[in-house]
Amino acid sequence: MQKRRMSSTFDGLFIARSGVRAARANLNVTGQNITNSTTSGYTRQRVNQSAITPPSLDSFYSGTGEAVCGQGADADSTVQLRDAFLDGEYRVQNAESGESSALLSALSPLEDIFSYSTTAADSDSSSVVDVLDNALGDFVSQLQNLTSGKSDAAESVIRDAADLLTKKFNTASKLLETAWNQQAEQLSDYAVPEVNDLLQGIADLDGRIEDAENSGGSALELRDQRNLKLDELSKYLDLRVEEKDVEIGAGKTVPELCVFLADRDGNALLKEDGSPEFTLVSGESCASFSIDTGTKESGEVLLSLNSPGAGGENKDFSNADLASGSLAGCLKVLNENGEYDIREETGDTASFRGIGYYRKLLDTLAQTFAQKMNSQNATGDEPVKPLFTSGGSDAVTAGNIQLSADWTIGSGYLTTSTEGANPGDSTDTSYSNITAMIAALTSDKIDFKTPDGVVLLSGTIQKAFMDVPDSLGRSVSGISQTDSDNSNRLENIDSSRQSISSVSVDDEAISLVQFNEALQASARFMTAVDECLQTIINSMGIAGRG
Amino acid sequence: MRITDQMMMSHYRRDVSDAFASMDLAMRRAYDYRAFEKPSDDPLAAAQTFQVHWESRMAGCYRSNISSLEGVNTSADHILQQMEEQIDTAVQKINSAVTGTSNAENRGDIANELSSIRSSLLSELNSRYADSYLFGGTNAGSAPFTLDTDGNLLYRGLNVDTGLDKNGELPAHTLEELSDEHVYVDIGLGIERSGGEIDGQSAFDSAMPGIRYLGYGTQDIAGEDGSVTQGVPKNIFSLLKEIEDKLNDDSLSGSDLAQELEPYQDALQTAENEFISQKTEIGSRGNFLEETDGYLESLETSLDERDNEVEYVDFQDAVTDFTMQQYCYEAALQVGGKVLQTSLMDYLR
Repeated sequence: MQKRRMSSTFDGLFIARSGVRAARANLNVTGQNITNSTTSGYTRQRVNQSAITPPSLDSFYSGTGEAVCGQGADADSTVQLRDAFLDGEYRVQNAESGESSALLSALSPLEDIFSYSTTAADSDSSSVVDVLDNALGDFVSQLQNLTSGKSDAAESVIRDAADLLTKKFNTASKLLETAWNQQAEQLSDYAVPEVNDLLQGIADLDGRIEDAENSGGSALELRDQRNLKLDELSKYLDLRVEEKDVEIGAGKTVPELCVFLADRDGNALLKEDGSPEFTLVSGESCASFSIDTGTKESGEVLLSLNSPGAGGENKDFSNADLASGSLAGCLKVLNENGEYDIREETGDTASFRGIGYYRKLLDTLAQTFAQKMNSQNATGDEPVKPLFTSGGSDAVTAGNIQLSADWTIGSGYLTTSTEGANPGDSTDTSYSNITAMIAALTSDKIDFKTPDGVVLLSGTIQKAFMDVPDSLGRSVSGISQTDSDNSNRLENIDSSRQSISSVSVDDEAISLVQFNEALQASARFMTAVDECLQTIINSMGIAGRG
Repeated sequence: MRITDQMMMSHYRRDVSDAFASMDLAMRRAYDYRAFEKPSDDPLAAAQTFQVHWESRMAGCYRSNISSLEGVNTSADHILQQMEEQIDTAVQKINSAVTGTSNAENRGDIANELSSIRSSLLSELNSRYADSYLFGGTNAGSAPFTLDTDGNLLYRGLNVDTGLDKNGELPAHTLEELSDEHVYVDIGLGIERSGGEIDGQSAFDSAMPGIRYLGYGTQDIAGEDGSVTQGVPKNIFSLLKEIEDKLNDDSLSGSDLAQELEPYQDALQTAENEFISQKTEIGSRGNFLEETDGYLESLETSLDERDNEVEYVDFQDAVTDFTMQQYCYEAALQVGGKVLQTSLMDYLR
């Protein structure tokens, strides 16, 4: 005999109830989406809805021969619409973007040190002025005036122009030093604490998410907050984010977050044994950074990482360990000196032209200038009388270059000639030394070298002066271009991400209509079942009762 | 691609901010006409601008050098012209003295005239321009020409005939060296040095050592009869003095005098020719300065034009661009106002 499946009397009511429940759950989630449509970091949610299979479909008592019906709809969980791959892409790009914007914001203000534009209401008086070249121009003009016998009280006028030039060097050097200090301060007082706060925040959130999910609850909003913090953190560092399931006993697992320091492509930096080298967050514990300001004098800033967990190692690393991100950018600006870091023997190390490069470049220029001028101030018989000194026994730098004390008092210290009948005598007007100085500044070609022998540029002293704002301008312009490319790419990736994750009010309005209709339909179905039961219970089998 | 409110909002925000930034830049350009504000805005234009500024400043220096050199040169030319006339007069007087008609009294008068010509030559040789002695070579600070107690001409303390100093010793610098002194002034010929010395072709030599014009040293002159007169000065001043002495010598007259004077007259003629040729050289220096100045003037003009090209934008372009940017910005605002306000919500009942 064939077994016949008996359906429950109130089956239909259960189905109707599940429909109403599912519709209400959907309506609530829609409402949550709408209210958070402007919440930053919010990921739109969707109810995971599925049809419930008929009871005991595969059991011994499964009936056949009668239409079998499922048991309604099940809205069993709420999920987020989010693409982990795009998150990874976004974070890699955000680190690039963070680096270029850190470089730009550090170097761009330096331009004002070397050149400025006078802006006025009429174009005649508006001009761009190259600070050093302009002061050099004044100095050369005064030398020129002397050779054509036009300058009254010539020596003091030349001395004033020379003094002004040294002051420009001093100021530029001082301003660069200030810029360096501000950058170091910005790193130690703002960037590093901010990174540590973010790491701590991520670890805290991770604990709360574990707790919530452990007890079977939902932690979608906490995940949003954590993702937001990870996004923020990715501006500072290259990250590798992994979620792994951790057993908590009784066969249950909860996902635990791990954040590792990564390379430019977002792959974790690995130890020799293949395990991640730098762990920033592991579940509820996190690493922290500290910055070594004790090395400020040596012109190098060191960042240290204190790994999470008891017994975690402390590691010092410089910018070389960081691929990109604004921390790497800051360290580059502070620690790298371009060609000055390169030794001629090896010669291949690419190094960024940070603030130090420009300081050292000014030192090289000041030294060369002082040396060329000093060597001309002699009669040929007597020892050289230096015009420019460091004010002590140190080597001349842009910071300390000044007129020699002997020149600042009285006149006659400037030796105008070596040739002629009375070299050095004030009656001698061949001005051969002065003409030689003009030639030394404007026509002699010199190789400007770093102390390690790397040639920075070949050309006249005047060209070298002029090249300072030019080369900085080229560098800033390049970084600015990279930065805007980076932020365009970042915006594109973010658009793709938002396209999936962010709330569209129109979408949700449609959902509102849809689920409202669904709710009404389920309610209508319930009424139908109710009427059906009414008929079965009250009206069935009473025919002919009178 | 699914477009959401937030995406549209952030795109819009970015676009409006871009439009505003462009308008800000265009506005600034419309009142200062600058093509760039910082070197990084346009590194190439900035480099060109700095170069043009430098060249134009140097062109100014060169022109100012040339203008004072021209003053010196014109003044020297003028004085040499006067001297030439006086030397000419002296030559004529001497010629008239040796023609047989002159008697002792005439010769005395002529000698006196020669004497006064010499003293005016001396004062002209010590002429000054703007506190500098014109004919002192590299020494413009004190009078180059003086007389010793015997009335011999000294150039910077050296006897122009013997080349010895006041102690009768050979000095550190010979007259020949002193006549070949240079004072180089940079007038934009591309000053260069080789081996520490200024290359003479690359600068203007403004030195005018007086002995270059009047001559120095002595020579032996052979007469037509085979007799040799030794130690005839080459210097015009010394020659005039010698001739003056002979004219004052009453023991000489007629053909004796003529014979005695002949080598000196020959030497004077040679010296005068040399003087004239050196003076012409001053004239051509003047022309050279004038030409160079003309070149620099046109260079300044073309540098100004170049500066205008690289550093500034066209007035019309700047204003048109600003109007255009303003228009874009307003359009962006208007579109935003229309699009962002409405959503499906507005149409649901």
